[in-house]
Amino acid sequence: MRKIYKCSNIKFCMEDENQRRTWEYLQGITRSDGSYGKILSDAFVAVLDSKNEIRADKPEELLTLSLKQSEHEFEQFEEIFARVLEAKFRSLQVILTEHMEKCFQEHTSDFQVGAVKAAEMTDSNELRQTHEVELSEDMMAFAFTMGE
Amino acid sequence: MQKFNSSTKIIIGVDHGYGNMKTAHRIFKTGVECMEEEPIVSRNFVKYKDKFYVIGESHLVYQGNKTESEDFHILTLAALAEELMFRGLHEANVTLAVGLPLAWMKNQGADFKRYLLREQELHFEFRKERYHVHLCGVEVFPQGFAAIVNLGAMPGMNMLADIGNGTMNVMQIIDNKPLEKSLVTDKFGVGICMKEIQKELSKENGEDIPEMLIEPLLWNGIQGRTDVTAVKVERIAKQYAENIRKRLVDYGYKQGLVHLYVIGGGGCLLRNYTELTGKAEVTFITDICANAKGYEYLAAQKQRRQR
Repeated sequence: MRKIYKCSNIKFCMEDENQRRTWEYLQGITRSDGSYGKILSDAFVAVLDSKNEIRADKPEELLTLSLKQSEHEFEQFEEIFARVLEAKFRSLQVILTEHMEKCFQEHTSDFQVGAVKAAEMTDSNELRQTHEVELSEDMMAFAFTMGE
Repeated sequence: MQKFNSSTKIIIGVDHGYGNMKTAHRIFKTGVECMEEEPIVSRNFVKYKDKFYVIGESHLVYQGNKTESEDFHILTLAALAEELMFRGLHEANVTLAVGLPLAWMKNQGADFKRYLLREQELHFEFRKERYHVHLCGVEVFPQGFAAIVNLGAMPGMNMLADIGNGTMNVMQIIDNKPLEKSLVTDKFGVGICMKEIQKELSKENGEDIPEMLIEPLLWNGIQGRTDVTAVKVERIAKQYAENIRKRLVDYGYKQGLVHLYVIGGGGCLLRNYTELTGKAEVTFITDICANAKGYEYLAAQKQRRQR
């Protein structure tokens, strides 16, 4: 007996995680796994039947499934939230790095000026110490004369 | 490049030793090795006029005249860079304050000044940092003497012994007056002791012992060690230190009557291996940068008096 087949074009959105995964899964199946129609219909029916059974017979399992779904959704939300946070963090890092570089440049300029002043101070302090130490003019004169 | 106030002048003291280069705040070994290409391993090099000079991997050999080779010019660049780095500068107008052994001052002072001042605009790199130094002038002072000149008045009989790696310089100072005729430069530096120790140890071990393994024993004493190496080092160091003491006596040192000032690396040997330690009339100047600080001090004094 000849079987009747009906076609249905399905488009998978690659930006949607579940659709992309399904499409990838379908790309990986071979003839031995069965046709696309068989695999998809088996999967759909299995899921739909199990849901119906739970609804009818086991309300506590429905609750568990519902909780599991919530957990899954929460995980997905968490993942998206983490991605958003990471993107925000990276942009903050860039801003912070630029700010730090700017501050460092300003600081090094200030430090430079400070160092020059410190060097001047050191020299002037040394000159001040001159009065404190009892210097021998003969010894100083000797040192200067030797260098001439 | 950092900002720099071009009107600011600083004095940098550099002590050109054969063993080590010293500034007021830095010290490094004197080895210089010229290369045409950038060194692969070492970062401790000066880049000057398209050549690369690796610094500090050995000691210079005694030359007798510090202007005979390019070595001390390159080492001066490294010393300037070290000191500028310490002061947080990359550019400066610098008066260079340097020294020569007492007895060399008259014959070599002017040459050394010309040697260091032959290029006033110095553009170079050290440890991959760029520096620009405008040399305003070079002041040459007597080595050793510079280290004690700011200690105050020196009444009575005094003797200064500056014992470096290559030479030992001695001078007498009587009632604050340095005696020019007492100036002696003796080629009896610590390098001789080091070579003697290396020779003795290599006999036993069959290979050369690096200086860096022996130096701590000389600078700090053997510190209770009883192994063969330490005992040999002690024996030779005591012998060398005793020879130094005898030479000082020959040059006019009279124990108990003359106040002895000992500076330089050799001072450590006298301190660790003779009975001079602890005597009231002996002053060991342990600051190895004392000469460089003294040069800066004298240059500042000179500038002040010229104003």
